[in-house]
Amino acid sequence: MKRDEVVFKGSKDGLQVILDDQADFDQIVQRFTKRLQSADYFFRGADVTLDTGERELTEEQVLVLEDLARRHRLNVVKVVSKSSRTERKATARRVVETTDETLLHRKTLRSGQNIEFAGNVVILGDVNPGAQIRAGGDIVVMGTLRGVAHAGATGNEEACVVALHLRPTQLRIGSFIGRPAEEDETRSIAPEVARVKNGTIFIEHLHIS
Amino acid sequence: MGEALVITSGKGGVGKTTTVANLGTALAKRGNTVVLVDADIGLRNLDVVMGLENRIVYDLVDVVEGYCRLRQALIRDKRVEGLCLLPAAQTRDKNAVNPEQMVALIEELKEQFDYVLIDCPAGIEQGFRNALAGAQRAVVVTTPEVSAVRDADRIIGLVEASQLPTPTLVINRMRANMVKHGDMMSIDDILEVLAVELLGVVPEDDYIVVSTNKGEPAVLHNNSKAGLSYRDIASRIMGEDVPIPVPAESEGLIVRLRRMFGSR
Repeated sequence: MKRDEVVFKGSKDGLQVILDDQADFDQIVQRFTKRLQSADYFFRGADVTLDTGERELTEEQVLVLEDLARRHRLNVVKVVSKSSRTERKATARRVVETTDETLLHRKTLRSGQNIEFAGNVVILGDVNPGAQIRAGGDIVVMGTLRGVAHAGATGNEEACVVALHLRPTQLRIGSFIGRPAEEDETRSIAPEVARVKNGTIFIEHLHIS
Repeated sequence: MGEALVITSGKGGVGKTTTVANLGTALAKRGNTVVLVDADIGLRNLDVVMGLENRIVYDLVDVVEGYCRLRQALIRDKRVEGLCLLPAAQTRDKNAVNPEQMVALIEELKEQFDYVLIDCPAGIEQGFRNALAGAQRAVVVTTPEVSAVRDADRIIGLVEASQLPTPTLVINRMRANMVKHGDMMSIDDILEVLAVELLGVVPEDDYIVVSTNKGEPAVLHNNSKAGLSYRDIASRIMGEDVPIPVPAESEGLIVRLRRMFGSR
């Protein structure tokens, strides 16, 4: 008999979902979707561990699987894999709690690329429209920030966003959301910092004190 | 051993197929042997733009599936010495071919031709992965529109992630007049976001519509502005140092937005 691509298994740590590492990824997604749909209420709210075996997942594939689980109200607590790179990709993306660590990204973040990190994030390059950063702590962009940045994503309203050129599509700090005001021709070429002050996101020149 | 270039864009309708047809023709006119590969399986266009539709007997999928030999599927363009087309299948879809098969096919073509130009379908799915698989270099085509540039940025990211070198950029359908009045993104506006090497700028040219309908690439026509730009781009692909004429520009369209409102 053909092996099932997606196996659900109960264990002491909650539900374990084993994804066959030989099958085609699209097939896995299809099968996973079907299984979740057919047993929607049964799994709802469960903590699950995704076991991807030998398969090396890309960041996007991890995201696809997590999204799928989340849509069916499954709480993905862990991704285990025989490939340590896959595991690292999976954990780097999850903002569970804030850490003091800082992630340094040495490239421009292009449309469709995103970074999620529990600590601070520093980008050596630009953040283009369509790209997104979510950080538990501060975000520093050594270039132009044109995409979406969410600092203090775990609720830290003291967090700030700094960029050499601050032109974001949208800024979020903690639970505050800011979008650009009407067109502003008097653009600043100096580095700026965005912080929460008196209940709104406020942008000012960056003064190092 | 030749070189394989994929022409891609993400967004549809920005001129990938037109670019492939014109660059291929221009490269062949310069004495190179060139094969154009239509990787847009199921929605083939390149044969129509080249005016070779009525000569298709076998196609790319037939070759990959072993129904015919590669030589039988290649259509020789009689107008230009050394130019061939490998058409896509129209009755199948992107899943009829996988990246490994494309790699093998492109390798075989590279042995026979100086340049293999791959016409990539729009989108970022299977068809895109197939088109990228055998290529050494990628050329991204965009138009001076925010949506096209956004998609180009996404594609550049995906090309880099697939271990190809950072692609070069062709800006198509540029209208110097509109840029001058601040109604269109300028070259600088686009390069500021994409930060890649500019391979060429092709002006908007009504003759492209005529040439597409006639099935005769614009580079074969001496008075076409777009055709002249494509010839320059072909020279740059061959490694020649041809300057890119920059139309006079004033302030670009993209106005920087700074002040933010806050809301819970």
